[in-house]
Amino acid sequence: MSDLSRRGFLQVGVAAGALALAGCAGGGGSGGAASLQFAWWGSTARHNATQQALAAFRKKRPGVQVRTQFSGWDGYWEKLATQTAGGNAPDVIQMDYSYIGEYARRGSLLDLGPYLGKGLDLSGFAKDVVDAGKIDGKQYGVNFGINSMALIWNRTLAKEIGVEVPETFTWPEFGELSKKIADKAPKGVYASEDGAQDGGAFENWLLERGKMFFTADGKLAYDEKDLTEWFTFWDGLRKAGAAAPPDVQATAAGDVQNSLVATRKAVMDFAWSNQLTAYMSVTKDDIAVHAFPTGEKPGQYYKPSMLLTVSAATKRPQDAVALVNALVSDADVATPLGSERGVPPSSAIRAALEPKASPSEKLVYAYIESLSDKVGPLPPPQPLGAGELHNKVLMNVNQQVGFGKLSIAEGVSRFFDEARRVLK
Amino acid sequence: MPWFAGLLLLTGGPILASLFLSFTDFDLLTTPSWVGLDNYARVMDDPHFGNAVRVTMIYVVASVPLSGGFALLVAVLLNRPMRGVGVYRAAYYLPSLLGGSVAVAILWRQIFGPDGLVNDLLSAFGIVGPSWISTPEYAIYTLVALHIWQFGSPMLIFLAGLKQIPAELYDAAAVDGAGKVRAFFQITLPMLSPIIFFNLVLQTVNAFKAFTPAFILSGGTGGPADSTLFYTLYLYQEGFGNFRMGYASALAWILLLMTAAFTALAFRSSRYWVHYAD
Repeated sequence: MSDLSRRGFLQVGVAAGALALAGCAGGGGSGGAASLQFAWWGSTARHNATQQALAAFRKKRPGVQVRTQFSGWDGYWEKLATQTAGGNAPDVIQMDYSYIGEYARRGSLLDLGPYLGKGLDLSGFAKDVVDAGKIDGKQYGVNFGINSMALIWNRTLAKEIGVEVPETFTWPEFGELSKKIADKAPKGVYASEDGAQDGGAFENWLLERGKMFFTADGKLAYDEKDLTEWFTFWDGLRKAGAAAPPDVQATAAGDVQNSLVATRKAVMDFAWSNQLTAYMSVTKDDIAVHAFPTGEKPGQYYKPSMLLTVSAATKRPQDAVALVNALVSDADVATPLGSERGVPPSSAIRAALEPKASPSEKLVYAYIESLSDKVGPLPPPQPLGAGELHNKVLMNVNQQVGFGKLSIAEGVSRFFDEARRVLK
Repeated sequence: MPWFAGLLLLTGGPILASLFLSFTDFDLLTTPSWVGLDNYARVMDDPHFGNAVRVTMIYVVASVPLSGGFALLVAVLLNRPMRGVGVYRAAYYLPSLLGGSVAVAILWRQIFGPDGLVNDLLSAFGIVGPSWISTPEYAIYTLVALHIWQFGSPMLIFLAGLKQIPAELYDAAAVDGAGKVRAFFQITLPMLSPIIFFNLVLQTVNAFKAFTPAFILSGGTGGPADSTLFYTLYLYQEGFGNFRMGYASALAWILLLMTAAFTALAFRSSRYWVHYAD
């Protein structure tokens, strides 16, 4: 029997070691010398569109092979961190605005500045659209789509319930509307998803009050009172049956196909304008976009829905830049992408796309256009840990409050404790 | 001895590396910097750590005896001579082959979901079931159920053990007038105690290491409200999701110490209840 205990120890040792393995596996080839790796996250609609775009790219540059890695949002960041640590980062990486700072400031991304005008043509981009890819003054990312926060709502479901959704409403009016919908809705159908855990909704609400997530030097720019008020507002809606209760909300984790609007459990979701295409592809219902609740100050801004970045460790920077350039500036390659990732940042591509735009794309264009006089400036890039704080910690604390594990006051103090732990 | 070289390189190297990293601040992307015992001190004021230990303990304490007991019950039933017993044994072993897989965890998510099979069944009796996997009180127990369902390998070991018990003992007991139940408690259990001990230790270690089911069922979050945040899942999140590989390495070593303590406890207790025939 003594043999057994040794084996037991070894098994644990292997588990521990395997986890560390990725951390110290430095070096390594980056996925075959002759090919370029391109990684992105997204829904099936995006995967198909991107494969079509890459087929067009291959025709133009037969010398460059592109291998693809795609997944849902879940798991994408863990894999990317592991690959980067192991020296196997994809050459071209689809990046989120909340993570670009993490990678750029740790030296994992290539500065694309030297390629501007020499292989990377961003001449059709507005200046602020170009600047959205800059961290500490360097061009680490290329805007891959313009979007903004959007209330995605299920028009078919609203009609069945028999409610009208007005053109604009403030946050208190949104609360009233939600309660009205809840009164008429059948059991198990809610007016809205639980927006308290949605970083975008919370940021919008803060901006309208003249606050924001972070100051320019990376400190939290809101306080306990703001978060308490935010949680209290949503707690009221949950208790009134207007916002989805936590156990229903928890089923909406992951990608759009699980969202409450797609599964007909809620009329409204807090989302991003480019996601309209994905929503429409997973349900037969009539889905529409609506601006977020409004306030005294502009709460929305034009955000890069995602960015294209190049790994600092790439062995083929010229080819990687060529792929980035084709995806945003070459009409033949960019056309299949449509506006699924957001409105194309290049004016030439937009002009080429608009005549053949699908109905959902036309809605997205019109929506982005309609915001032009209502948007505020893009908030500064976020400090290290920001993605974790407003993606994961906010959701976790809100669940604890929703399930009654923590009171609102305890939840708020837990959140700020975690913020101190997480932000660097 | 090539196996030894493999062990040294593929196991020993990473083990040493993780020990080193546990004393560093390492964000995966830049060079680790030495911080001494900071990572070990960090667990003290980390609310997720205590929660992860608690969730893991619930899982270990609930799933190990239940799955062991269930495996023993099925083994005893399948030890009796009957027609086609081989087929039954194979059939009951099947879940163990599939059980650890991602596909089954996804299937589990459907079965225990709000509109899943379990609730369909309950609604036939007029009961409206909760969403099992998205309610903190129940989510962990769907994982325990998944573990119990994979009783095949301990069952097989029990079966082998049952075959070793000499038939004379049962004959003698029957002559002395002992019934089936008495024979089970007085003969089967004591004779089987080394096997029970073996399974106990093995299953405990396995339960501490469990990762896949919680990862899949909660979509990697350990939710709802951290109720399925297994220790290993938290370790993974910290290391690979939150750029804190140094801290994750320290967590891995603390897990090793906890598992070792549990195993040592089992060995200590074994002298009081494990009977070796020879």
